[in-house]
Amino acid sequence: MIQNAWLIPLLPLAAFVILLLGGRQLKQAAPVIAIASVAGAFVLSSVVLMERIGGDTFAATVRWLTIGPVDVTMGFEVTALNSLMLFVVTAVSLLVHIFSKRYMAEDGRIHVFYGYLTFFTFSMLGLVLAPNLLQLFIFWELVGLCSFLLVGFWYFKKEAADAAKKAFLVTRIGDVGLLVGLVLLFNATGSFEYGAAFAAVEAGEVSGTMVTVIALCIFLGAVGKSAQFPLHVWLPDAMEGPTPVSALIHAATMVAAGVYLVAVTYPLFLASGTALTVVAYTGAITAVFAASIALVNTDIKRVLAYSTVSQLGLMMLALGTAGYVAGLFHLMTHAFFKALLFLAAGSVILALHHRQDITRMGGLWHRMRTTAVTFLIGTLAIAGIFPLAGFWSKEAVLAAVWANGDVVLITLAALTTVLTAFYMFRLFFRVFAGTYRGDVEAPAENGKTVTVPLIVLAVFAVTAGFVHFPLNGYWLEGFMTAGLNYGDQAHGGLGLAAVSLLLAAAGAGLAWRLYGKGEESGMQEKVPAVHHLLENKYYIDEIYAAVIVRPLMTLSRLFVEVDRWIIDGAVNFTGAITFRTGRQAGKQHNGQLQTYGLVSVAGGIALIAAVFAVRGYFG
Amino acid sequence: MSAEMIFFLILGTIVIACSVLVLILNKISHRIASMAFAFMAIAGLYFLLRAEFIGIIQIMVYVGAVSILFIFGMMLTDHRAKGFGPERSRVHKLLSFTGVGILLGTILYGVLQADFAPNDNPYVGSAEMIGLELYGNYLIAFIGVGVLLLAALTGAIVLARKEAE
Amino acid sequence: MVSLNLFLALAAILFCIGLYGVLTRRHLVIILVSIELMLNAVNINLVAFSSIGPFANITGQVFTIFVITVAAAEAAVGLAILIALYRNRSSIDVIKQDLLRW
Repeated sequence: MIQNAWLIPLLPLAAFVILLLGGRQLKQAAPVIAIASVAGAFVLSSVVLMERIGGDTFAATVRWLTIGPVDVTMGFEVTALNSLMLFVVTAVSLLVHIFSKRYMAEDGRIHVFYGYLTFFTFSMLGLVLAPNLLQLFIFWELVGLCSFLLVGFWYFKKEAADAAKKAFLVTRIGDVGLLVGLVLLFNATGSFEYGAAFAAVEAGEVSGTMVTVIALCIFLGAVGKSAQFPLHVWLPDAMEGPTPVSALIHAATMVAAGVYLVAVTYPLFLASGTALTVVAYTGAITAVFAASIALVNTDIKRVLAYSTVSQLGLMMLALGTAGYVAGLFHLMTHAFFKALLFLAAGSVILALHHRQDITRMGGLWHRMRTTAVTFLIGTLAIAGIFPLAGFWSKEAVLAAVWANGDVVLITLAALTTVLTAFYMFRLFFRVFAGTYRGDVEAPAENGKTVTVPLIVLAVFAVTAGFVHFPLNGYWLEGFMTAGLNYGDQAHGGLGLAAVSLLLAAAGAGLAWRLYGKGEESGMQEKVPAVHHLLENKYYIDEIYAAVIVRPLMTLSRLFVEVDRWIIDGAVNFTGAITFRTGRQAGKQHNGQLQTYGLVSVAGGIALIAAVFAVRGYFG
Repeated sequence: MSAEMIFFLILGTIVIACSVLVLILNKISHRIASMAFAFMAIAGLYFLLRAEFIGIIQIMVYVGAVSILFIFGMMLTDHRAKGFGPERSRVHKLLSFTGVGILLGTILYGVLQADFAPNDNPYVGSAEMIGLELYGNYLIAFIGVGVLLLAALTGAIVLARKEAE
Repeated sequence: MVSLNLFLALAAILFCIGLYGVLTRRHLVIILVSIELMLNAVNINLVAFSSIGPFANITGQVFTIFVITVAAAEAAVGLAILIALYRNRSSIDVIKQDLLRW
């Protein structure tokens, strides 16, 4: 089966084509077609993962084009990383597809929605399977396009349209960085293939500075896609899209593409200490930064969005501190429990008729028992409570940071752990504890297509951590790093686990103390300045608006005027001159024989005068 | 002043005066008569130049035939009309006058300055010489002119004929 | 003998009178007459050169015959056109004949 792994992305693509061609006629069948295709992809991915675990890396490429001495290839590759990503993407995608059937049932354009969703799945799988950076870049852009389409799915809402635009433009900054990095890498090594390029780098054919520049450029792409500081601003706004989209794209898969990119080009980062440090610090700052904003936000999806940014920061931090396996392990577990949290939030939102403000929730524990329990599992998992998935992955991340030994990073990571537990439990309490404060009559569960994905994801959120824990000898590490030389992977001892657990418990306890009844804590009265700062997201958007957007707008307006008056003016002037000349010349053309004769005489005189002027009267 | 000079001045004055009259007289018939006089005077100039054959042809063709043709042309159209309403614009006239004046000035300047080798024995062109020349060197041109005349004759008839109903 | 220059000057004056007539007169018949005057001015030149030019010979007179022939043909066709025009447009005012307008 592993030889036919290329079938995996083609299944969703086929569904996309069918939905595209079928259009409105497939409104009823759309969810079935899409779910079937993704289910097929999921089964194939599982088989491929199993074969890869038992077997070896498989790669197949065909020559796409030849430029001078360089062959550019297209194909696919199944490595440990790829097969794991395939499994995670198809699993989450399948559950989101199932969930969407109910969530989007009332939407008149559900066939379009499923079309986009399958196309996104195709792009993401293509990205994961890509055997070289060029192909990866193509799918990378497709993924960005799908994100744009899905965030702006409700384009008639101004916020959604704006958010889609913002997501596209902000990630574009990163994409440019990635492209520059690719070109530089190609220039330096003469190949887009992972293997050849990395071999050249490891053989020292590329200067150290150049490697750092390339790594940083590629990391810029990752920063854009994974919403790391300072390009994180698009992700919270992207929550204007439908909730399943938030779960699939903006929690589990697409934003993980940035982390995946760093992982797949990891040799470049290993070759440059500076780049690794930048990755680590960017991740750490993002983690704390986003977590602190999540403390005060009152939109259920935005809290989760900031949580995602924060967790992605943790993954970057792990990668930056040589914790290759830890970062990817956290990526995998996070995909499950964040998708769970988002879908549970979607369930709540659906029950409350698309209200997302947590100040109007509360007391839903008894009304939506399945959602509440699964949400609690997700919360425990992300907070890092033993023995859920998040505990193991977060512990691995902390171990990597600890082994790195940078005090600042350790502090930031620990702080993030506390904050994560705090804001997640705050969210949980505000939504599910206390008394109901909303105005929607009798919110209730939404049926099996909603709860089944939640339960499945909850199972994953509980168990996914057991692929990498002491009792099986850190199995994932052996699987992921077989044949790779990415350095020793740090393992936390019992002490680190205890500290980690303690930090999480402290955060959770504090949240219980402040929000246990589901009511306001009154924190904004006690520390208004801090609260204000956090509520306004550190004024990052405002700063961008003032520093980048407004000068750019002014400049653009200037250029518009230049275009209108000078460029257009010149064109119009030329046109007007021609037109007027034609008019005047046309008037001379009046059909009067004698006028023509007069002009002829004048011409003859001019000719004679010219001849005389040149040669004199008698030559 | 030789007799020839006197004749030349008289004939030249007649030519210029008559051709000016062609332009400024009111009645069309008077203008055409004036033109006939101008042609006559030109024929006189040909005699003065010892080109008797050309002079006779000039009288026959121009004074005899072409003048009559113009008189017929005048009579077949609105010969009674004197004015045609508004005149040509003053600007047009002024420009024409200036242009023609400049042309005339330029030509006269050159013509009066040109220094030709004097030739006191004017060449006497006899009909015989002309005939030999026409039927010798210029035979093809002569035939061509004959064809042209035929075509003009036919064309004139076709054009002037009333269109068949 | 009268100098050649005087003949040429006379011809030039005659030619310019004809040209002025062509440019300014409105009666089509007079325009045709003016054209005849211009042709005659040319003929005077030809005959003058033929008789008392530096290289006097018969050719100028032969050409004068050609010019007279062509002028006669032109007058005949011109008047025929004029008559046809008058029949169709009831006018031989050249100002009114502006069908060539753009």
